[in-house]
Amino acid sequence: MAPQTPFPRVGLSHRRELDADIRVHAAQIDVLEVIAEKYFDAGPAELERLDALAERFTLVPHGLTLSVGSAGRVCPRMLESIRQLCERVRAPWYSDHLALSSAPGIDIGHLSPIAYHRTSLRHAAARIHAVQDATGLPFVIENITETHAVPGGTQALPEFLHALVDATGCGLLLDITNLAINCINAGIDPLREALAMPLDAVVQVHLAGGKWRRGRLLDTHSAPVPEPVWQLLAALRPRLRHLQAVVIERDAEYPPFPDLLAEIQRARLALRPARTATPVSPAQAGTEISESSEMCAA
Amino acid sequence: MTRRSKERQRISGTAMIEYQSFLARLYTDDVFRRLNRISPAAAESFFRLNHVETACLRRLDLDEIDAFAGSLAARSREQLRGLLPASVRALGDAAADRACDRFRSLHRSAPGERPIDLLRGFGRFLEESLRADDSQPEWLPELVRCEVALRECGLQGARSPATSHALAAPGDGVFRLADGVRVAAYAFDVLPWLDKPEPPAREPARGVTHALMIPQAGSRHPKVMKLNLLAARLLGSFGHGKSREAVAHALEGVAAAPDLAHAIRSAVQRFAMAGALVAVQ
Repeated sequence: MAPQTPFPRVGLSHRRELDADIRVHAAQIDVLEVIAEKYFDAGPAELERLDALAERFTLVPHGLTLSVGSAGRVCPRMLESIRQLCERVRAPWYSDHLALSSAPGIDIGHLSPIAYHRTSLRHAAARIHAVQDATGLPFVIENITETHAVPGGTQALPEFLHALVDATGCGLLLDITNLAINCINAGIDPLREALAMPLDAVVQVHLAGGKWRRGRLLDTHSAPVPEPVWQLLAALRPRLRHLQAVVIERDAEYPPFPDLLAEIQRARLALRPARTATPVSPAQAGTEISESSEMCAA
Repeated sequence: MTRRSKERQRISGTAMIEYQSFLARLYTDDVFRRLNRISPAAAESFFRLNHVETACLRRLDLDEIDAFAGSLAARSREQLRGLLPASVRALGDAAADRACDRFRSLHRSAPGERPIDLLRGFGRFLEESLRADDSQPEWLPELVRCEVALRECGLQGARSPATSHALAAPGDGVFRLADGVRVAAYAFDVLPWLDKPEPPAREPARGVTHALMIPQAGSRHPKVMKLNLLAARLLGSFGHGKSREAVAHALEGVAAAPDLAHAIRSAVQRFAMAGALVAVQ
């Protein structure tokens, strides 16, 4: 686990559309998260650009296709690609999602939820161990939006994550927006759910905005970070003792870049008073968050 | 751990792969999903599932699965449309969506598939479908073929380092087409339809059009030039490596220029400066 830091780094997920602005405003961005798979089969030009980013920013490679929830071994070529990328950018850790994104011969095309039970825990742990062994770096696992229920689970997500952290020593990339979306869609108090997570293992936080479609809130990364998510961050901050980085994700409907810089600054401010803040109880913050409608960006 | 418990674990793991393969198929295959609605047993018969897994699958909320599959289909459509935007614009939204859905139902993306393979696969499917469709204009499959070449060339350029090629020396030497350069003939002048925000007002004119596409280092946008017949033959003659003299000899029967060798020398220089030809070391 990375050492405790007084002020976590705050930055953005790197996207081609944002690249020019990111370079211009480099002084205001501490960390960039790069999509790992983009560089697995990259040519020299793409690697040159990556190297230039690594010179100026702390880069955190973030995978989409490890399919941590899959049964079976991780493809050795993927492990080697991950290792090379981490070495190239001097990554502090490698992250991917607690999800099923492929089965033998089939790329699902997105992250799909898994059932939480002992067998899936064993498979997830084996795949995480494989990456840890290949890279020699901490592995950090991210919670996803649960688009549908997969029957057969015997554990709740927080319980499963506690067991996974215990079994592998991995860190947690807490996507506060995903957590909030799951809770809002399921009618659960987000703060109560968040407080049940292994918060001491949280190394990184994701913040993003979602949209309502057909009665469900979706993690579209196409809207500003909503108020309930900011409130959750503030409420959780005192318990995130090992938090190293906060990344704001924006993949679509890009706003003027100063708006993203303002979100970075807001995250910094939210993180600073952590040591003096009084921890909030679920009852105090939960009501406020669950009653807010600001998540409805569309 | 005893041998028996290890065996139990192994079997459990193997079965879970089948279970996950079922789920992946359910998410990505519309026809399989319909089969599962009509006859779950028939859908399950493709997989080795134990009774616990079968029971779990029968408890899936199929409306939720349909919604998730719909979101995957929408992503896939967006991805495929983004591969060939000019062709999609020319085809129109409804027809493009149908083509994307039909391609997706036939083509199962494998983990780790390279973008260029998806581009080639979708491009070939679209071109062949349009060529066989009497209701579509004849120039449309030519536009698809041309755009596939353009995007391939762009992908090649984006991967290339920003290093300059050595310019062709005026003296003797052997030249070849630079990596990723494409010289091709199309039955219609489809070049004006590429990379325009709106389709041109007039349909592409019929007539053989020769195009040269040169990858630009670090860029997804290749340089595109329209060639005359002689220039196309000249470039085509270099292939993997030939001297100017050999090319001049090959073109003697085609071109009637009074000083063919001189014309070729200056053309080679021009194409080398544009990055289409490189001197073979």
